[in-house]
Amino acid sequence: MEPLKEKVFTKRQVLSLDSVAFFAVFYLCVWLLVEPRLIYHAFGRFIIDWTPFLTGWGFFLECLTKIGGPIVYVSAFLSQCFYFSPIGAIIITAIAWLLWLACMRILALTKACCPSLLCYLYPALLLVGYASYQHLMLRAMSVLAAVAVFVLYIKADIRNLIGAAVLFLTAFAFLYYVGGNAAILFGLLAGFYELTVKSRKRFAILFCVTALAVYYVSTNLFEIPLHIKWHISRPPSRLVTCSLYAMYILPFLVILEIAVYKHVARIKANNPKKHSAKGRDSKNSRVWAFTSQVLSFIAPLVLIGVTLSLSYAKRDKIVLKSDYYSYTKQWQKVLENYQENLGDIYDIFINHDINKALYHTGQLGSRMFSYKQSTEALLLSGVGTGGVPSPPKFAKMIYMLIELGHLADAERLAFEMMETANQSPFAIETLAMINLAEKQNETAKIFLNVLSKDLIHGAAARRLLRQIENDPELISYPPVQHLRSIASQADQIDLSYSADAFFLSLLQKNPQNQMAFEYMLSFYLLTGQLNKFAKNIGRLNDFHYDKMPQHYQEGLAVYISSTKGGHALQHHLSPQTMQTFNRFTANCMSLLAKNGSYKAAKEALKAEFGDTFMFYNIFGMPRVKK
Amino acid sequence: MKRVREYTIPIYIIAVIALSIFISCRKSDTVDQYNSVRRPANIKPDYSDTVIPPNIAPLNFTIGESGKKFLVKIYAPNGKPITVHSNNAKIKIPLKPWKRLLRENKGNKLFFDIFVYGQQKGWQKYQTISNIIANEEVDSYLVYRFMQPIHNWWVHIGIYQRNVTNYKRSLVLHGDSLNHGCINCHTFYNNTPEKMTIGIRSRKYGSATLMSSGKKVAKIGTKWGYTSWHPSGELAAYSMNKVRQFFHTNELENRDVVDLDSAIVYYILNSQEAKTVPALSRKDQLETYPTWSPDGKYLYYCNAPIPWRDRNKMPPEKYNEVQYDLMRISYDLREDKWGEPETILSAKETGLSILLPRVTPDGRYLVFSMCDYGCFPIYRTSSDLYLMDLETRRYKKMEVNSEYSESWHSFSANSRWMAFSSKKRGGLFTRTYFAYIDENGFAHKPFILPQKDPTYYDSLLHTYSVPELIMQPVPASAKAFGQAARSEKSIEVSMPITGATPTAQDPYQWQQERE
Repeated sequence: MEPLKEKVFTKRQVLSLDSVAFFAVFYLCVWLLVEPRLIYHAFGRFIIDWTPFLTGWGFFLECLTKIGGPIVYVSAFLSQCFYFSPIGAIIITAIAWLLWLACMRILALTKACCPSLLCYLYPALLLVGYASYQHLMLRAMSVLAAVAVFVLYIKADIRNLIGAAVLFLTAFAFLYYVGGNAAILFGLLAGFYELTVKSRKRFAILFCVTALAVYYVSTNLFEIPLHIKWHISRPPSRLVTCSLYAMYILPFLVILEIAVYKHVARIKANNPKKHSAKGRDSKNSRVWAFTSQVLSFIAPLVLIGVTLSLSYAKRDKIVLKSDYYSYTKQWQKVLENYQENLGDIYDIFINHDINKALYHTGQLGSRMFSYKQSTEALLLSGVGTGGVPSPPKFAKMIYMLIELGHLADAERLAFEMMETANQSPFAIETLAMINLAEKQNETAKIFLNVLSKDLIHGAAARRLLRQIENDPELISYPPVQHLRSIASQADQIDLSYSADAFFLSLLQKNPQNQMAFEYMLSFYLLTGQLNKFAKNIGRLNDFHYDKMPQHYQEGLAVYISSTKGGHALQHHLSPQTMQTFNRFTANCMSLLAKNGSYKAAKEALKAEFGDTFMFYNIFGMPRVKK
Repeated sequence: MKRVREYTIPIYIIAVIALSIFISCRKSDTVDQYNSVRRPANIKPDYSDTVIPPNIAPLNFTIGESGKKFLVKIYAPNGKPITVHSNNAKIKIPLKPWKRLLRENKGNKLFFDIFVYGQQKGWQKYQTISNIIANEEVDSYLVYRFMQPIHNWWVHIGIYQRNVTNYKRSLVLHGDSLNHGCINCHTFYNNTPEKMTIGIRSRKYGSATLMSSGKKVAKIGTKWGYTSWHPSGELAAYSMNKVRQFFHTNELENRDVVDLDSAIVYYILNSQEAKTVPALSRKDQLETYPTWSPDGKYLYYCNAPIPWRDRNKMPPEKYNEVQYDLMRISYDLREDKWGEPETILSAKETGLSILLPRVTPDGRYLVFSMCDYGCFPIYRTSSDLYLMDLETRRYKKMEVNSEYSESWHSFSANSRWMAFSSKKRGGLFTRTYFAYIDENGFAHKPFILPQKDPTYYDSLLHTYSVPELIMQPVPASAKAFGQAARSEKSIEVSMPITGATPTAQDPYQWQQERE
């Protein structure tokens, strides 16, 4: 223990090799592994309880006039920086470092001779949350504010009760205004410190009672919400929940550690030990010093490894990444993300993104069954339900409905999203575009005016507002013109919406709506409605396909075979397709007749036929064939 | 002494120089040289050629002309003019001088001279804008529901009260108090908050009605729909509605609402008893929107025959053929006796559905809305406001209407001011407008509720719903309302089974949270 003494008390610890190495690795993990841009992307989609940041005086003053508002403002601003992963990683690392530093300062100021490894737990706890794709900014800032003020309180080291009380109350009031329940944490910390370290019971009682009384009065009598929200994406794991509470408990543990060590030190001072031979002691000390230095370097890094191994939510990341690539129209990356990462795991949202990527890369009709499919994934069961989807579905359904041309349905869901996901920029942007497509410029401007205050999306919104002024019809704005060309005109009362009506109304408005056509055929194939498939395949002639896509040929072959009739387009069936179909049929019948096992037949046939419609039609969801 | 004198002269010189600079920098109240523009300036909101109350908050606006400097001079025959300088297009009128000017000029015209300075053109003066300051004040408080255009889900609904003589706003009740519950219509007794009711729906705390009397709030264990207080204050009539929402896909407003069933009952405060009236709760009819005449002798309401057989199917057949008649029924308070229903105006005659009747406090006029079909005019673009002279029974379309929906009107206690909801700015977001109705029933050009920031509405994603004018602020606190809503104690109301009740076993089925 002795060799550590010098390190703890000096400021060199801040820039020591182990701390630099730790935070460098921390930063790289957050930047490259967690990718904060995915958390930004999740705001309003997967993370529904978040705080948007608006430029201008309005939001600023609104925050200034609320208890806890300043921290909300700063947190909301910093959250916007997550749009750029490297910057977001810097911010998370900076908060982690500040929390660690505050802990170290507590040790230094109390002249405690105890390991500083506990201080590394703060960054670890923060990493638990972010690696699980929760957004902890508000809570972390609140804790940071409380601990930072606590450090200042310790540094002031006022001996008399009145002076300490004045300082405490000033700090408490400041924190109450700035951070809401950060003040409560500070009050309890200060009281605990006075009780355990300073042994000043009067101070402790005063501080703790003040904190609890203010909490009670605020929340019960005045109903002022003091709880700092943390942004939830999905129901958090037990580990994440524990880590969130641990962020509040950790400073108490540090204080307790200090108190224990001081107590031990006092005992040692009263009972000095006899020294052993000088030579042997000095040798042991050097070995111990070297070992402890190595350990103090390695241990924090090991801590990062352990933290990530326990908390890294790989699957959540893949889902988020898929959504991100889909939103940013990086279709090839949607497909690569799946193939590289997911393996045999099935996720309905990723399936939905895959289908969209396949459509946009011209492969929906030929490679759809190379991926696991379910009947709900294509449309996310958005047809004819009239119900309200869960928050993660909102954005995907809105996006899909807009692309197809069901603007009214997209508008409705965008409003739901705006209400439940706290004015998500995506929802507002969608509503602006829909209203522009419907020539409701005045309403669209309201949405764009809101969006113009967004830090990231503001510039684009302002450009569009200028364009509306110069060109109210938006003749030179292709996205709006395209929406107008595909927007369905039919009035469908959503509760009586059928899938047929869903697609046919779009094709009625625009027979060249290729997405509607391909999705319709895909839907019929997925749901086994071959009659409807066969009825509508003739629309192929409205598009410029080089040849009939593979799955359509397979579907047509199955249809002709099952009805024992013909079809006007059967001449599109290639000899290869017919051979494959015949081979599959023969093998399937043979296998089923031979041992009667459905499962065995499926296993036997999937290698050769797993990516065909015939296989899906008989055996359901196929495995991925790379 | 000599040293003091040495410093005195330089100090004087500095002071004179500073004063000169100050005087030269001080903005002049007039522009001496300008070019005249032969049209009024574009201002937003449009506060021109309208009639305003003498106690209204300053009508801040933005000037829609390009320029580097702006000057507005506001003046009237009496009192000191107000000059507002601005380096941007936002004109914010100081409160006290404004109030003084209006107070001294009741019944007079109010003028706005607008000057805009551009680099190349210099100062330009636009045609003077004028308004009239009415003699009659408007009720000082406006209570409204504030929320985003809600479809299936709601999270942030609140009822607020706004002092219309300044910009102060305070919360009456927020849905957060009910665990994100829904807050429905708020109703006041005779333009005062002495008695008021608010309907609430919450998954956690159930459906109920909060009734406040002064600062005290009680919870009644049944949700009242559209409510109207009898002028005596002894009872209130309210509707029970089995309301359902559905969506279109090709209309400007894609939301639609239907009452699968409805009836009107009345609640007697002293006995805490709800009673039905056979004529107002017939099984084959939809009765809704009750409103009392100021003398309490008549209850006006809307009535439509039910065209569908299946009362659970959504949407019901012929939902777009439902049109309500305007009815009234006499009532004797002392005897607690009801007369026979009387048709005031039929849908057959108008070809439209007649909804939301409200009688002016002086009993002279009845204002209602009419739309193509249905029971929820705010969702019908065709909805307009109409005024009926109760003496002659003649009615006309009011002058306040636009191409979009107008509805949800209320009156000030002196009957001269009408607050109403309009979607005239774009067709989606409901805003509150005021219009002066003179003694002849002529409604002057309406103006929007003024805000401190004149661009407030340009980026407001919320709607102002159900605007109600009251003379004093609501005395009960938001906390009291919240506590009452969450309380397990409530006044239980026994409901007699009526012909309109679909199932005897569950008469409150309609009152449940997800109606």
